[in-house]
Amino acid sequence: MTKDEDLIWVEKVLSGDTNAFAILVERHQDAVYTLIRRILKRDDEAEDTTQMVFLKAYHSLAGFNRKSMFSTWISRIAYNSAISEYRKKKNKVHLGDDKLMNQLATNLADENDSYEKESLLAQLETAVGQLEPEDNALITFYYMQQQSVDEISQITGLSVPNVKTRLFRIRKKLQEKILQETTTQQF
Amino acid sequence: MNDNFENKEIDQLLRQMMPMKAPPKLKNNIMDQISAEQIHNTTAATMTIEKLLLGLSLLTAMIALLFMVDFGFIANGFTDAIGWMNTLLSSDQPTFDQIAETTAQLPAMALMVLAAIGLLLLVERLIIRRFTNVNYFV
Repeated sequence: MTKDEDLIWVEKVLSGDTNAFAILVERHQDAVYTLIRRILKRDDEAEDTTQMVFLKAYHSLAGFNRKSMFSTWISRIAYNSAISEYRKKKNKVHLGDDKLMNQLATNLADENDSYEKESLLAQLETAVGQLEPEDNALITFYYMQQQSVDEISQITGLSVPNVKTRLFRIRKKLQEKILQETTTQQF
Repeated sequence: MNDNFENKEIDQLLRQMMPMKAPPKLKNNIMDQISAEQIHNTTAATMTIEKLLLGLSLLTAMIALLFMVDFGFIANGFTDAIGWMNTLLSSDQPTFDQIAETTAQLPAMALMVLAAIGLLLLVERLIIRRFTNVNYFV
């Protein structure tokens, strides 16, 4: 996906072609939904919030300054909205959603992978699901959306060194969780 | 899993995680909502015209308010001032009372004008928020 392609559709929407927004939704819905789903951990809430994010983006499109990529801009809206929604409904959120874990573990498992690797990936997915929403979002940006550290810094408002440090700590945390899980299983 | 399970290996595993698929009807739902709401999305072309019209209407409203609300005060102020000057020039009536009376009206007039301007600025802010798609998220 290139910056110019998104900007073409943005310009079309701003000049009155509402249908052009459908293209932007089509191009970014998976990334936005994944991010929000990982933060909120619930299908229904994630779907509602994703809709809300795209509507907000549509309303605010005139304020998109084009200095950043459209994907960065919408990720920022999605991140802020999801974190805000998570804080509002903090008490209702159930960590370690089994449905999510199974679905993602299935996504992860390559047909040719060994059982051990599948099991490892499932453990990793469970561990990722137990992370704090902000940490989960960082993992989603960096590993699933292949955003650069600079882009993540723009989206989250964290400094570049802070993003790097947090990513390192998150990997360390995941490593410890998996080792702990493995040790528990062995005994 | 071996014991020297490293940060780098986690990195490799994380790279295999795939993004999730959005629900199939998500896009249609979003576009339906946009159509249903008939959102007035200010375009770049109409933005300047809308701002000019907004400015013009606010200026008209401010002038109208000044005339309607404050014209009486202004007229009274002038009458008082003229009366006070006549008194000062042609009678022996103590002038300090007159000065005090006129001066006492000034804060009230100033407050009325400031309140009117404040109200207009508030209305302007509300109109701009509603119609010019201020980006609250970035």
